[in-house]
Amino acid sequence: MKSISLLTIAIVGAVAFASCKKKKEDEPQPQQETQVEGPSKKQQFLSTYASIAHTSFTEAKTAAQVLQTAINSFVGSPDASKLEACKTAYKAARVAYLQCEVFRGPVGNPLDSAGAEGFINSWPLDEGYIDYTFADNGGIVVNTDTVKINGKLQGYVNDRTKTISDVNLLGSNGEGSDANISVGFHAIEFLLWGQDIYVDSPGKRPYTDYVTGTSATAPNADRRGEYLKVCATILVDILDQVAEKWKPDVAGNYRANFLATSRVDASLKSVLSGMIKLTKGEFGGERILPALAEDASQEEEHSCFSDLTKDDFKYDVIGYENILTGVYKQQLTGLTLVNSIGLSKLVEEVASAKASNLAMAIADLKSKTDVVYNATLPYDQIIVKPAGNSDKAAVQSMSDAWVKLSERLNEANTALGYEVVNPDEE
Amino acid sequence: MFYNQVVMTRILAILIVIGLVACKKKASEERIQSIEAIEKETGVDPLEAYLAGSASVNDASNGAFGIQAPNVPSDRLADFQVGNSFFRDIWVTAPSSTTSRDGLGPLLNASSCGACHTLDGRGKPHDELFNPTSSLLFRLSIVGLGNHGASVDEPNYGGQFQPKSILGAQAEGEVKLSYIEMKGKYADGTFYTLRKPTYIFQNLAYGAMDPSAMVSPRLAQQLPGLGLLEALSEQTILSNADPNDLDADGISGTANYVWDEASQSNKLGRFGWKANQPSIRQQVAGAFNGDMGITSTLFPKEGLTTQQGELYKEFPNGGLPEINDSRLDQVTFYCATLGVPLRRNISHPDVLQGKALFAQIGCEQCHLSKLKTGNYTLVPQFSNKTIKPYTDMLLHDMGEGLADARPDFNATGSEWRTPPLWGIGLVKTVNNHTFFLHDGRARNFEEAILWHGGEGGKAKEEFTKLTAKQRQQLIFFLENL
Repeated sequence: MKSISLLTIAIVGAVAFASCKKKKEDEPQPQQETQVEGPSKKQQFLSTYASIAHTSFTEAKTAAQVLQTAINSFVGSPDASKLEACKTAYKAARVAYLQCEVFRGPVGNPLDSAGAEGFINSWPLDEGYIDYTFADNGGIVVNTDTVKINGKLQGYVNDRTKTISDVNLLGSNGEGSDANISVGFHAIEFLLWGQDIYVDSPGKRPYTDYVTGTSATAPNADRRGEYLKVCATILVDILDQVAEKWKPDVAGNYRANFLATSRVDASLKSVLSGMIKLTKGEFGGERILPALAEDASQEEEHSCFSDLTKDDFKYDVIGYENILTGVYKQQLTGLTLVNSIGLSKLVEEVASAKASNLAMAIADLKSKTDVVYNATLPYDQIIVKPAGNSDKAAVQSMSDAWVKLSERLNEANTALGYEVVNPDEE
Repeated sequence: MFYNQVVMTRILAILIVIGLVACKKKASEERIQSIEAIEKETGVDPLEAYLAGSASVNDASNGAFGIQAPNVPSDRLADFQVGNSFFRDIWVTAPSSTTSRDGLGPLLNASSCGACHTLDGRGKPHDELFNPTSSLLFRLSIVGLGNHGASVDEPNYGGQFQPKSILGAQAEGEVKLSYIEMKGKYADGTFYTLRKPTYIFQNLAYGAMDPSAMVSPRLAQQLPGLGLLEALSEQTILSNADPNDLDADGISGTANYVWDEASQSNKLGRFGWKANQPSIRQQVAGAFNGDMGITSTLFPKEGLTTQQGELYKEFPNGGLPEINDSRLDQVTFYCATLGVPLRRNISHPDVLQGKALFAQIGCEQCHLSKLKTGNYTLVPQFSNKTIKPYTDMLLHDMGEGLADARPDFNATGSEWRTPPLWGIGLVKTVNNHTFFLHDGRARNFEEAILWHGGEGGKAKEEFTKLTAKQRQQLIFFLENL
């Protein structure tokens, strides 16, 4: 009997909570008068959201084109400084792309649908599928001899029976053969930096991996260069395709449907629930928590070849900030490209306290992320430290701040009259 | 109205008022009235919807199978999320910088759990062109009894067919699928069609398959509620077994006893289509090993034949083992704590009629609608709960039509474990299909019922005698389960 009544409490809590929430929608709201303007504010925000999406993807595409140019030049006549130029261009392309990750929220969004995200940012990477690797010892790469199987080097690059083309590399990302993530940022990262087998630095792939002839440090340099170029082409193409779907004034594209007058509430709900789920589950959860486990491996980080994972954290946050403020600034130049009605403004209309809570949550997340960003140790060295040290605590605080942001977004969502979102649902 | 329900309603009413100080009084009163109204009108207890009690999840979206049971303490959410990460994300070829996530293959069916259990749900048997998907795997064996009562692996292809490989290794081959259509007739004269699959193994890379090889197709099942099923005590499960049909109702119900790697002894089989896995942990570790080529402390060796092992001995591994115990435990915890979605439309007249018919024609003799869990250390919150899984967790002879003619420990070639039905109505929402039974041959609920034979034959006979309206009602009940 005791267990029944405990169970009842839980259930009744849920039922009653749901009913309470439901009631709110049905009942006249205190903000009834201002609601006449409400929808148009919602539309203004959605329009801002779409503009920032288009700008973000266009910026990412442009940065990827710069990277592509650098890569083509490097592969044409490889030298150390051109490899550096590629790395610099890669970093800039990441900064632009990471701000696009916030757009993974809405149902059917162009980044997630048709597998675009998988071609751009798949992780973990099957690097042994792409090119030679060093032997590992079950925990950390210790042996600087390259792995040979039946006397041959690993990887697509080193299998001269396989043709390197965009169709072939994209084809391997299909249903069923998803083992072989062969393209995207992290593939390029691996081809530029190589494996990170070092404590104090990212990967140190020599530029001579791309030099044919006597100074070559690895066989199949021609194919390696070709592979890298094809990856860059694919990245530009796919970012361009996604940007097109957010382009203004194109009848029937995703943006047009997203902004349709009849779909205002559906789109806004979808935006909010996507943000609520991703902030908690993905950014605060899966991208961080496995690395906080006691026995986490050194490279349980997304940018494991270049040691740029701290950038990943930082610019993902900026992506969210862009939506809240309604402002998009080019990170490198500080140039403002969009400045309009952000989510905070929209929420302010119905509940100013919730809006300031949101602002505080994003500010807190930024500062917590900065602590990690400014830590002396690279992220992979923080991961392998034992629990209880201040760096790991900082990573935990960053995770907590993401979860807090999720809660604040949920409150804003409720204030806008929508049902509470379960952040743990996929 | 029964006395119990009156008491329940009172409790409910009081708790709602207490629990909702923040909510307007008027709203809660209205809610109580509406709950009472539901009961008065239909005699339905609103708690009926909660198939897993406080482990039920209030969600009917396409994410409904992937939500942690709400009564799991929040301090264990990190384990759940890490488990989810290793369940859903792909595994990669070793050596790789992501050392926690490498060791895939050399041979495999898929590179992540989520590739087959899409959104923690049920796999599709084939694509639009009738090519089998990775969600449909084939167990292989030859005649004989192996270690601990297990079946004997096919010598050239091992215990399961692996149609994929990592770069440099050779996949085992391809499976061609075709269906034969069969006609049948309801008592009211309406015809129905069933389809029976045939499989041809072709482009075999490791020599001919043994001519006496036995093949058992198995479709990836949905995950919700696994922990609650593991929480059922052996005694509870055995209390429903009647291997010699002493009560002469035509339904026996046999427990499978299978090899438990952890304790190195035979244990009650609970999971899998033939109840051939004793625990969620072993089911998970077995799938990592057989389906993805990931070794663990439970299965430290790659699932390769001697010939394959020789061919791939130089391939680097992803550590010994490739998934460590804490990750394995987290994936196990993830699978164990997925909550069960609430039933929908419980007071809809057709659902009520369908539910009554479900019991009346005998479905509930195996698809038990009420069980009580025992003590469960993995998730103490799941202990001693009344659950409605619609399974007895036992093996039943399902007749010739469904038989795979391949024994699996104590399970004969025509025996299958009663699959739980909770949440089954949401497969359509989560996975966009309604392919049911062990090989996905049934294209909808109706066909799944019509395939029942053997011990389920009598209930099926009764189903064919129902009117079209009644059949629809029964199916509508399942769609809302």
